[in-house]
Amino acid sequence: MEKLLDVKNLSISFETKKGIAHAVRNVSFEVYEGETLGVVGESGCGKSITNLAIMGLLPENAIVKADRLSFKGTELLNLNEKSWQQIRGEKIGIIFQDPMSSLNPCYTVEYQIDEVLKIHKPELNKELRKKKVLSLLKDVGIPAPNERLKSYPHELSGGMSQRVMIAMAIACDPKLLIADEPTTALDVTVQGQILDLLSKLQKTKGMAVIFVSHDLSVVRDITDKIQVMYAGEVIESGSTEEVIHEPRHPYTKGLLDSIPNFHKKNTELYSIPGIVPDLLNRPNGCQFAKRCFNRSDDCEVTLPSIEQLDNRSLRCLHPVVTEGIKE
Amino acid sequence: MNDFTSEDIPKINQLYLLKEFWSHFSENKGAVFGLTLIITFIFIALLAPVLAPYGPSQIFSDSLTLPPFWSEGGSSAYLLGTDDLGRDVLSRLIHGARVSLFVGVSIVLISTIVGTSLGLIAGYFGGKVDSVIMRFIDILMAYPSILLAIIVVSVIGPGMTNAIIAVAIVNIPSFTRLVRANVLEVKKRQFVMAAKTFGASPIRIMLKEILPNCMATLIVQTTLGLSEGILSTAALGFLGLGVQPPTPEWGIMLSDARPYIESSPWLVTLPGLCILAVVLGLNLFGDGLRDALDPKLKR
Repeated sequence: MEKLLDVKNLSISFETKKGIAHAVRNVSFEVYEGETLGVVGESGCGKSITNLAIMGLLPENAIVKADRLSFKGTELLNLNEKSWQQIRGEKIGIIFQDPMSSLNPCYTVEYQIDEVLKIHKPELNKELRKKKVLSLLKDVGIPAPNERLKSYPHELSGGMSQRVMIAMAIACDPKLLIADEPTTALDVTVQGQILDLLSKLQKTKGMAVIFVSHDLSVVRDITDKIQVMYAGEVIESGSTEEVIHEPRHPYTKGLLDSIPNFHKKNTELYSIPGIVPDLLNRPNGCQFAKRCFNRSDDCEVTLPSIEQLDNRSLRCLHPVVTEGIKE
Repeated sequence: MNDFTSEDIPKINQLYLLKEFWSHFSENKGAVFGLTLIITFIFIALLAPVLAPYGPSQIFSDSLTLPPFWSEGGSSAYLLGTDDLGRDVLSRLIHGARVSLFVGVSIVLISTIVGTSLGLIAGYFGGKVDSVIMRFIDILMAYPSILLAIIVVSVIGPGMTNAIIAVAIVNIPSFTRLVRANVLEVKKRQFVMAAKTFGASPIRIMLKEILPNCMATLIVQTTLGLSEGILSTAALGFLGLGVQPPTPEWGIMLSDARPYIESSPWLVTLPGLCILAVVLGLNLFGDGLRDALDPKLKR
């Protein structure tokens, strides 16, 4: 399979009034065609920032450095605005967390999807575009698409809005779809439907998907690979199956233990103590050391490097040993 | 599945929106009054040649400074009397509505287009572009508006076109500041970011994503700008720097009648009342529009 996205040693920092904040440090990963990568981590660990860097949409005070940041062989780092506009929407699509605010309240659903086609497919005439809009709405499973064409965003439910956003994102059949916590703002009942829709679309359209979430239970079902991020670093990655059943990093284990279990009554839900370190003032050693149950003295001094072990990588001095978590 | 056809929906939607707007708007009696006033004046302006009994510059040398028909010595031939040159005041007022509304609309058109573009650019790009544009606007605002208009007119010379340009320049800052403030708020909304992810160019984002979301406030400012424009032009006309005689403009009629303020008070009162009525109508209408369009003030 062809390599779509190739990120090597990506670092992103922000110049703030209080100093330079290193939001993302030496993140490397690859996404192959048709594959689903899950990116997991708690809020503020650099997941969304990494995505914005891939789309070239970081705010102006961001400093981006990378040995390689390429999409299908195109180096993205020094792209000008015009070339970016051709990549965004056409080759890479993204959907955001809150679908209700991602749609422009002034326009109908039809107009907004049509606009994406207008930008990237100028060769289509009005009639063909209308047909395409209709088929897209059908693809994303919107009931009565004919009626919905003329709806304004405020007339749609959250799940419906997210479907429209997905329709817009896949309008030009992008090779890569970034889903940035697409179900976080939705009801649990709708969440499953959107996830099913995403994995169905991925199969039929042959897209690669980067699926970002803080919820491992969501990622587990639809991804091939998982990459766990903490404080702007990748701390563990590997195939979904292996990472979930045999987490090696204490943080991954903590995340897994934090998933509420519906069937166990009267047990206190686990939570990882402490908070993410201050990005302006990072600790010297392992970033997770302060919150780790498995730490020893050397953790606070040396920053563990990322180690490759048969298809998995890990950034930890004292990995945990588990015999697999029973469901 | 549903029986709706796509043709049914938009009509219902738009009619509904219009109805909802009207129900909010008509709650405000003052606004409806304002709207009636404006419509009346527009009507008068459009039909001026039909409605006016005489030409605006037609001179009746046998009847100078006749009072209106209801006072002693008035004649029913000249309903609102005649001025010092023997011109029919009613006809001049009716034609004056044409001039005033034309001038007002031109001013608003120019200042809205220029002011809005500057505001969009300043707000969207921010940084140095923003600083340069806004400092320029600050300079414009530092002058009292009528003084600035006088400066502009004295540089480019008096006359209707120049008066329009001068007052339009004076009106630009209010539009720019309003739009910029709006853009700063709207551009942070997620759909602008979403539009970027679909590969929209900055111009497209400014005009199609951000501007429609600023429309409500812009429409209100336009009606208020219209009244301000009419007022400023009248003031320029009064000072002899605006529209030049014998054009029947309300401001000039005022200034021409000034020497006769004691002997023939109707000559200053009537054009003054016209200006008052139009400006009042526009302000009431503008306020009503703002209340009806602003979702924050609804209910």
